[in-house]
Amino acid sequence: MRTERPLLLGQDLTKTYDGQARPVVNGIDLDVRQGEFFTLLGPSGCGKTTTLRMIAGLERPDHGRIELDGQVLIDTAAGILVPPHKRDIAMVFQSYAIWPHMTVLENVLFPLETLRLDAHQRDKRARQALERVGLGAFADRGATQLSGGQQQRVALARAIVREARLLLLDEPLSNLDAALREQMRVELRDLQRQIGTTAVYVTHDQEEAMALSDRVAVMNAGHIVDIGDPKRLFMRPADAFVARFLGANQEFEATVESQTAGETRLRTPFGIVPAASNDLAPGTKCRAFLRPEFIECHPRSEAAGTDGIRFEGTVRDVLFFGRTVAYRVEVGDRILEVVSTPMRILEPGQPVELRTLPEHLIAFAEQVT
Amino acid sequence: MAKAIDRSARAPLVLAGGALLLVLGYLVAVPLVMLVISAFKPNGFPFESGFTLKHLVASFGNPLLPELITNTLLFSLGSTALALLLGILLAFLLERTDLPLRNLWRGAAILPMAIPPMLLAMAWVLLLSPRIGAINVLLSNWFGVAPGTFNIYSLSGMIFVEGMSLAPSAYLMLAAPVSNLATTMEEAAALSGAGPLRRLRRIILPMLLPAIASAAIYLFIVGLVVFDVPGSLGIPARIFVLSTHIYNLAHNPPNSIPALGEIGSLSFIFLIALAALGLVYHRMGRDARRFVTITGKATAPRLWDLGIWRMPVTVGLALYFVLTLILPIAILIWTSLLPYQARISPALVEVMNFDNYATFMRNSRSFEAMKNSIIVALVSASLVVLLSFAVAIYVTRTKGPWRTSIDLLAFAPMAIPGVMIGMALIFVYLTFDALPVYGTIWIIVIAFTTEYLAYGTRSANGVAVQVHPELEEAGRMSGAGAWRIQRRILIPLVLPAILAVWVWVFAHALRALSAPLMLQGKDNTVMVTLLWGYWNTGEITIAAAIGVVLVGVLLIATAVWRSAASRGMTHAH
Repeated sequence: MRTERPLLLGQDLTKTYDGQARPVVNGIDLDVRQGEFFTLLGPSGCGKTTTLRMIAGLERPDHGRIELDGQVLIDTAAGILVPPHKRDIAMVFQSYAIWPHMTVLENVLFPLETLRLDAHQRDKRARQALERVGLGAFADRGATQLSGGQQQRVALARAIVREARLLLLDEPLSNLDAALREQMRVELRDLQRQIGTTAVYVTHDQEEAMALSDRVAVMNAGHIVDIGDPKRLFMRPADAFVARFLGANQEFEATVESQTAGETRLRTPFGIVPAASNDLAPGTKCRAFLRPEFIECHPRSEAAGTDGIRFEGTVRDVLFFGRTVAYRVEVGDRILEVVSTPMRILEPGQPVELRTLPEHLIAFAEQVT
Repeated sequence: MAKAIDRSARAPLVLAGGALLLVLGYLVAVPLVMLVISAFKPNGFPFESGFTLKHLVASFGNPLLPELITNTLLFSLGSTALALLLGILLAFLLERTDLPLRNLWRGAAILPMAIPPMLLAMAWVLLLSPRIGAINVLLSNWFGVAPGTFNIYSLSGMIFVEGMSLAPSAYLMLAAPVSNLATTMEEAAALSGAGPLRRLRRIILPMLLPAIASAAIYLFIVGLVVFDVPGSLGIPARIFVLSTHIYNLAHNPPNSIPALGEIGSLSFIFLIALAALGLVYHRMGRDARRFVTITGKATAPRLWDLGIWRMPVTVGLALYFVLTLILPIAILIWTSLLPYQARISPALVEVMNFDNYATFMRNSRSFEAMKNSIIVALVSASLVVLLSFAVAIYVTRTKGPWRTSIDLLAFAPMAIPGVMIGMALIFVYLTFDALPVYGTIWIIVIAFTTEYLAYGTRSANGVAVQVHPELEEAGRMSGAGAWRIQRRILIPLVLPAILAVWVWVFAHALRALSAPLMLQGKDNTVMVTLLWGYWNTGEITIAAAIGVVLVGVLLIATAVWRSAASRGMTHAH
């Protein structure tokens, strides 16, 4: 049940580990809505796991405040701290942390031990949770006799069995191989929708974040640098870091040429062209990004229309990947990369016209370092 | 529900840390301080008035001191070198080669640990003493070798026996590093054109160096502090090392009053050296894995093909087991069946009987001794387990105060000779009569608990470190409180390791000689002191019978320990 009601609120969370000069999490604010799938995305060391562990109560913030469903979990100023086992928050760990001395069922029963339930109800709920993750037949197996994917499911069953208010997931798919990871990604999403739980997910994999999340917070060096739904982050990242982290791998220098009536024009190595609107003053030096997959490549003989941005060039290299084809196209004295489908494959030396739309050409002021 | 931040997590931890600090301080620091104080008192009693440096001056001025130091160092270095050589060879042969019957050999490799060093020494006296030694007799009968060619009552004899008795420990410490050495490193070297010897010299040995160095320091410290072998072989030959000299000062002093002040000052001098060594070892052993026995690894590394060396190596290995296990046990059994001690000859088979066993069984003192031994071993093992795992869990898995002090205190006894612990406890319990344990078996229990605390905490630390923190955190996220996590997750996970430590201490408390001997009173005779008594009064055949019984019990304990220890490693990842 997704609502706009904020379930989890974090304010000014800051954490510095002993013996480190810089805070690993530096004053971040968070709000996660009821029923939402919320992802913390960032490179390793950006503070995403520490943030998750502060929500769990496994890490104590130096200062800050966390509130869940109106209950204060930690407030350093007021001296309030609820220990993890009193928070009613469930978590899936990166290493799965399946207890090797217990069976599958015993692992899943454990979180129910502290609830007031009779043995029959407990058993029923644990088995239900195992059914949910497709491990109904494995209840009596030793936990260490399972494959990685199955252990992952046990960890998931153990986390959902209590029906806790919040489900935390710390890179749960990172130890699986690629095929299994894609499959589990879908299952995880479906499961979260079915049971309607609110999930906070940590990953460094942008594709995973996009596929799973309602909203993504991108973290860098202890700060949240951008937050929004996956499509917006991908199309209009907040800054060059986010653009690069989300895989915008074609960038070049540019200068703001003019700002007239809400239309931004950039001077690029490929000429003066309209771009996604921004509020930079004319003359500002920029980094401009244009994703190879946002460029269409047509033989010049098929030139048609004049809308959007158009460059003339010559194909220099063709890299055939099967599902996609990449071209290196010479435009003036520069090379532009283009990713296209193999529906029609162009030849090296072929004169082409490249087309894109202004909103895909995004620019950020050059960081003065 | 919500609690104030600082009191919530801190108060129980401060309490636990304080309790551990108090118990360890009482067990370890108090006796040592008393021992050191006694060095500066006129008559060597820690609580008498006055202050003197005369014992220290006398110790340094003692013309025998250089010889004592030389003997101690030679003995320790020699036995370290021999044990290390045997340990490295065993580790490579048993872990990395395609030796025939490899698993059988690996099982047998630790069995020599079942023979107490004192009994190994006695067995070798029976084999190699100049007059009655069976090997000497047979060599002279068959080949006309001059009688007494080999004399076990010598420094080299002591080194030979101690080296063999430490070899299984050396093997245990090196087996895991040797078998864990990634095969790919070797393969990369091979593909870079390096032959087997070059790979050994340039890749394998350098990578093993930290493990070898740390094993060497451990063995060296043990060599410096042991009593059993120097006591059995060195005292009759009047070749004294530190531990036997201290024993002598207490039991056979020159002017028949125990030379307490001199013991104190000698202890003081050696403790400084031992503390330095102990600290080095402690630093090297931060990860503490080396104490943990071999893991039950599922995938074996690629094995070296021995080729034409298979037979010679097998013969050599068999010879090793003959020397460390079969021959000593055989001569003990042989001797135990004789009605009287005699030079070995086939004619003796006619007169053999079980009278020695019968005598031993009939004697009410031996029954008492057996009972005492078992109580001492049971209680010491349980106390060590309790304390070590409390220390390990506190030190490795909490952020409580005084963790370093607690860790160091628990480790310190490893570098303190058993005779010194014994002596120090005499001071403590002669002074405090609040606990009337002097002359009872309980003072031996206290000595063993202190002595084996170091081994216990090292093992426990090693296992505690290996339990992934997320296993515990998963418990907290499942709504379990601290106590439930201990009970349901942490303790079950380390249970096999607990059993392994328990059995190890049990076996060592049955076999160790120095503390019971130092603390011997009329009511606390244990098996080893009884045995020592028979041996030193010339009742060799009865001593041999007791020895056979003891080895039997220890063989079983060793086998249990081995299987518990290897099972312990499969759970904790």
